[in-house]
Amino acid sequence: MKKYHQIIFAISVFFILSLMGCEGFLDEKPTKDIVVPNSLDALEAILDNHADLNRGLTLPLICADDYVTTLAGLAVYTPQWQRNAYLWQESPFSPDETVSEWSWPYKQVFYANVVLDELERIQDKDAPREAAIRGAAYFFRAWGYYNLSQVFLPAYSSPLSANEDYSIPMKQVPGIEVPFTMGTVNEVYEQIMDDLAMALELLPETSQYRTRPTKLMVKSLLARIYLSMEEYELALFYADQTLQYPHSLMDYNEIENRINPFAQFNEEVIFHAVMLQYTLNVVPTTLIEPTLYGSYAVDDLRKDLFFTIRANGNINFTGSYAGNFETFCGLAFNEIYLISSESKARLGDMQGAITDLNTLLIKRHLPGFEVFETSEIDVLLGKIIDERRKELVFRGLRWSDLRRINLDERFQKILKREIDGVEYTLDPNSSRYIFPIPPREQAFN
Amino acid sequence: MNNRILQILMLLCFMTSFSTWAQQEETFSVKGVVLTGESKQVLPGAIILFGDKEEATITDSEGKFVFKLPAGEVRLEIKYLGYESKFLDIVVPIAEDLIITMNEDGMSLDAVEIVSTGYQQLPKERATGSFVQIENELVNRRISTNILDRLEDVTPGLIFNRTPSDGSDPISIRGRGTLFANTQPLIIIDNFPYDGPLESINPNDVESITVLRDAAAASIWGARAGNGVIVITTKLGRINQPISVSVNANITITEVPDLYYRPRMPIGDFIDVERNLFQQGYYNNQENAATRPRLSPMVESLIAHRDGLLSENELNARIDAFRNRDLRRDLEHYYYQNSINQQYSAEVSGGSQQHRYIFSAGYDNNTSSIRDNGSDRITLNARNNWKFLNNKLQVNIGAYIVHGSTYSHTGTPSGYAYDQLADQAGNPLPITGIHSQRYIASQAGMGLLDWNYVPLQEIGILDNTSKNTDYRINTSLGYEIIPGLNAEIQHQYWQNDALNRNLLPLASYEMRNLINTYTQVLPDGTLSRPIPVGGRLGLGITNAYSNNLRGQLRYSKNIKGRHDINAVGGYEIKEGQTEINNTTYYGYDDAIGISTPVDYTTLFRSYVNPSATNAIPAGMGHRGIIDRFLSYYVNATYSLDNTFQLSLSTRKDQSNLFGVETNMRGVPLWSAGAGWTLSNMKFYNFGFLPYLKLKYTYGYNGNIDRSLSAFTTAAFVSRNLLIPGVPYAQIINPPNPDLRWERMKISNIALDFETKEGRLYGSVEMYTKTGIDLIGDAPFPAASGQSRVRGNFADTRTKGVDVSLSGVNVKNRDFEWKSDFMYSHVSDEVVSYQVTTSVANYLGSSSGTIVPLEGRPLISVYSYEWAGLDPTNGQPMGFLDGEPSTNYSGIIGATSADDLVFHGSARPTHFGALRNTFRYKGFSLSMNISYRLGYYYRRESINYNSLLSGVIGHGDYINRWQSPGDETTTNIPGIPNAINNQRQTFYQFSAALVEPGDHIRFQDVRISYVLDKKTFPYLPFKRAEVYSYINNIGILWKASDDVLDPDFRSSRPLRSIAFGLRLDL
Repeated sequence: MKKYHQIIFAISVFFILSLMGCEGFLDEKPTKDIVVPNSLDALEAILDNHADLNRGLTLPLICADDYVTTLAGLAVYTPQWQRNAYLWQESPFSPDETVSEWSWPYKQVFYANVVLDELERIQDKDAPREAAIRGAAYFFRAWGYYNLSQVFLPAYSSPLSANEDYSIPMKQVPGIEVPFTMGTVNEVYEQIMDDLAMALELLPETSQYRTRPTKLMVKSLLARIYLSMEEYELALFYADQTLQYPHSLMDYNEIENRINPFAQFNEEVIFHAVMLQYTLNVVPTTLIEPTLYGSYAVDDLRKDLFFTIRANGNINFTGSYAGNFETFCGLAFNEIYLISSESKARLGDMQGAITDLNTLLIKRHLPGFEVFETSEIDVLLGKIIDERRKELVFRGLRWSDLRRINLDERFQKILKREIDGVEYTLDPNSSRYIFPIPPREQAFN
Repeated sequence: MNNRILQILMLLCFMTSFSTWAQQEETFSVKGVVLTGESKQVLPGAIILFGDKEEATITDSEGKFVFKLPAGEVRLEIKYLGYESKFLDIVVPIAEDLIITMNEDGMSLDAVEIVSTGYQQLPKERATGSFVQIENELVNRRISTNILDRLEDVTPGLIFNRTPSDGSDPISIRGRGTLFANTQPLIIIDNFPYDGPLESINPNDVESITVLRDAAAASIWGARAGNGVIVITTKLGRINQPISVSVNANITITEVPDLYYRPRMPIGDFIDVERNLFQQGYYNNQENAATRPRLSPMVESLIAHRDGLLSENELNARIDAFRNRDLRRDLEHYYYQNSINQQYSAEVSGGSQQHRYIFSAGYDNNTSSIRDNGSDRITLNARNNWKFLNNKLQVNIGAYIVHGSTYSHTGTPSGYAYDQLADQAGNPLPITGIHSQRYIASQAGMGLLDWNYVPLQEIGILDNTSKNTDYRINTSLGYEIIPGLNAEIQHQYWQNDALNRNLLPLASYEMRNLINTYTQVLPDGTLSRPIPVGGRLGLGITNAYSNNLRGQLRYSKNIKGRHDINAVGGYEIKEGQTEINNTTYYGYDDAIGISTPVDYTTLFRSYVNPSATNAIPAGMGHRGIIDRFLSYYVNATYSLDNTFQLSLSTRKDQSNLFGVETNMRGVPLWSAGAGWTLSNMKFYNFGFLPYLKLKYTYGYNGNIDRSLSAFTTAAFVSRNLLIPGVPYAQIINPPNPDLRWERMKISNIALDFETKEGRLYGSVEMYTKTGIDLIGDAPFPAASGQSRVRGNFADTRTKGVDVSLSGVNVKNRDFEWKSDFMYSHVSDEVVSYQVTTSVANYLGSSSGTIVPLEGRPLISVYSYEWAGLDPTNGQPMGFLDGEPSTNYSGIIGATSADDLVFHGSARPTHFGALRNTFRYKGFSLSMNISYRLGYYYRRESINYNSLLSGVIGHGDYINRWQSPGDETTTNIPGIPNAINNQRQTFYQFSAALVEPGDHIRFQDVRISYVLDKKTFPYLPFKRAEVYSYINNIGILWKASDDVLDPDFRSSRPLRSIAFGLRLDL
């Protein structure tokens, strides 16, 4: 029996010894070019991914009244939801499709969540850099949620926003198996404001790249958001803050008239972002809406610089602040001037509003331009709204403006489009101003 | 690592001291070895009974035994199935070790098959798992440079996949169970997995190969065994074998490739098409395009004629000349040749009582079908096995070095079908290169490098070589602690260094074109060359190594001659690294060895098209792979009276490929098996079937996927087009702590049998392989950040049957005829895959890419329903709303994946081979016929889009519809008026082009003549074999009318004949 005791002893000693594993032996990553984002370099590189992060949605462009298209033009719209959205259809999305306008902002939120999560585990001494990266993550998360809110949620100041049925998924951690919560309009805006407050604290004043978030960008984004919420005091506050930074408006007289006349990252650009690109962004059948085009005055330089008249008479938009065929939708100083002007007007400072407006318009007209004057608040507001439409054409901002001004009887507008003899309309208080959550996403609940 | 080795060594010391402590009485060792009388092979598993049959021992994997007895007389009984029991009377202590020879009891030829799992050697009839044993003679049947080729058509259940994009999936054992993860079977050499290039293994060093097909056989290899395991056992001298020298030399000559294999439309017809296109103005855009693209000599002639540079007569003369040319003739004449493979090897092996060894060297020299291309390989091998301390301590050291190189000095040119490489006198002629001849002519005198492309002047000027050196050093120490219990440590160090050196010389057109394209014209008119004048040297350097350490205990015991226990358990640790670096140098001058630095960041305007800018291709890259594995395993078998067998095996793998959760808590892989030798039962008295065994196994093997990581992963994008110089990263995968290996659940039921005197024997096996937790995509809500995530989300199922039958049809003293028949049935299905994709992807899957669709085979052939040709215009017709229609966009738009015609699997569902071997005295003739049934492929046909873009088309053009009435005799549509993408897509993927792949192929013939010293005692050598091998003889029958070979669509399998001599001195 002794023999067997020895055997058992020997075997157990053997196995116990072998069960003691080496520390960290299995933690080595299997392939060199897999970047495990556990260094500031990697996290900064992830947030420098402009192709995914510095992007905005195109649905606002499709559904607003910046452009029109023809039957032939509509025929090449793929996927089908673009066509349905153009015609303001009730349920534009097909049952199984993944809609990029929905998934893209959530990808931005996901990137931000990954970075914030990884930052918890990094012990790096470079505090300013770490703060800049963290702040940038907050910024992009807020940017993603804000863009989602303009399309898939009611306008903040609309009575529908209190309806809790209008909600979108919200998630603050990166794990894919962690379930998301549904956030109402208030909850989403609260998250946006929280994130931007964090970003404001952490980010540097300026950066060498127009794609990397800075305090300046946060402030100008806040100005935009508060305007859309009809919080005019806060909008004015942040517009002022933004205008404190050294800046200048381009004099359109000095810009050569050709296709894509503006340089990328020109002096007015604060935050560079472009829309998701589809065929419709660049195809010649995307025509400037005729009444809009006609509303530019004879001495208005924007008429020449923003648009190109083709040989066959088509008039296309070619004045993107991205400097090329991409459709700019980021933040720029011309927008800030208009926010400042409108906020002042709404708060009663008509003179201030007119000054801001003219500061901008002088740079957009030929010399000898007659500055705008009025003493009627309705006329002033109407003019500002009109100038927003003309100055910020093809920026995706008109949709947010419409959702906001449609609550005001003075400025409500019924949108109309005609295709193949059939007329389509969008009433000011239509529920089709809010897009439904794509059916595929609803199927997961 | 060092810590561990120290621990293990300490442990061994402990164990030694325990065993010496155990010796109490005065007993003496009785040692010896049991051999078979016929071949003097060792006989593991033979039972030796002594004393009053109360005690017994069994021989180990080397046929050795040792046990202790007190002094005195003892009768030993030695038993083994298939052999006559032997009785031996001895006196203890014995003077010298016993050598016991057993004689077969006339039951069968191959009674003793020893299979190797890589961890242990087992007699096949003791094992419960599914093994295929390829013995040395069968390994050497086929002549080839590489070892795996020798398994083709002789291994039941194993098939070589021949569909086009199977580079990643060349071999399948019992079908392909996985979707996207690793598809290679695990290769084991000398007890360790081999990760190096398979071309490094010299077949002449291989003794035998065991293929492990089911869970019980393979689960000991755990997470890497899911695709089956191929265990290669290398040669080693035998105990007490006098020194023997063996030499093998052979040469294989392969026929010249058939350039005319793929049917092509006649040149005359093509020229007519070109003429029509020209008259319609089709080439106008290309003629004036800024990129100055090439145009065919015909089109250039038409342009010249139109512009008045060529008269009508001159034009017609040219066209007549074109009609009579064929580039393929020139290619055949100047570039192609018979490829010749030479193989030489020599080995010295032998053994004494304490020592066994082998030293071998091999040299292979292959020249390819294209001149100035080829490869060679040198292998050196030394293995030594010693026994010390009364045979208790066994030391094994093996070293294996391979140096191989592949070179290419000439490339085959591509040109228009009627280009001419040389004139009547044989002087080299220029042909059209990348840019049009007009453009090249217009740039003469501008100071650029010669822009003409003269292929014949480029023969032999390329310098593209790959060199590879592969080392393997194996050491192992085994110590017998007590009789029956062995402790072993095994270690393998492997290193592979490869250098790819590709020098593109200045003399080549490609280099001159590159330099010219990047040439800049300075404002003052002079030229500057960002890519300097000189060659381009590309270097790719790969360094890889791995360390594998294993410690294990082996135990074998026989109780009272009835109970047989075998167990092995151990622990394994592996660490491996691969690093690949690539660089490129420009302006390289090989003669003086210098290169010139270039600017890789500036975007230069192209000389040819100044509105295009490009940076100089940097050709730089880096890649690194790190493998870490920790594994624990136990395998135990129990056998009762040689009649009932039970086996159990389990293994746990931890790896840096898997997620944290899996490593901590993952369930181990395991298998269990049972075997019942019915023929040993008392009730069994079917004399005509002396051997009948039933086996059942069930268990799990694993499979890994290197492309996925459990960590959050991102990948850098090096070129930031928006802000140059700022690299950014994309997130590829969210973190997945549950990432785990794929599992193959395999259940196997088998029947092995043998008739009287071994006239007919074989096995029938039925199995089901269920793939669980397979890597695949699953849909996720987009709000989680990714709408599609790759993880362990898919399931498949494979069912099959493997039958192997061998029969000795005729056996006389001088003449023998034996047949070996194999049949396999493999039927696979995707059981669960939640993501569906576009119809276009499903249609494209027949070429071998995996596009899983639930409920269908892994690789399936689909098509659009075919409604014949339109009688009025010869257009292909499909069905729209049940009616024949030529509304192609309508048909394509309305067809969903479920509407497609499903033909069947793209891979054979029934396959096998029949091999007949005839022997007459010293002559031997062996013929192998293979068959593949039950699958489909999509054949090529005329592509009008391509033809109307100016590219010569498929030979089906000849049989196209031309006038009403033709639709009754042909399915090939008529030529359309214009390019029509929808029509081409419809026709290309229509059911009209799907063919059954079923065929029977006469694969090869082997003839040999053996001169044996036993038969002719006066010979100066022991054995000489003269042999010849003819391969790829041809197809005997195929189901389809298609002219081409069902499995070889782009080039015909080339016939080859080999001659060789093997001499054993």
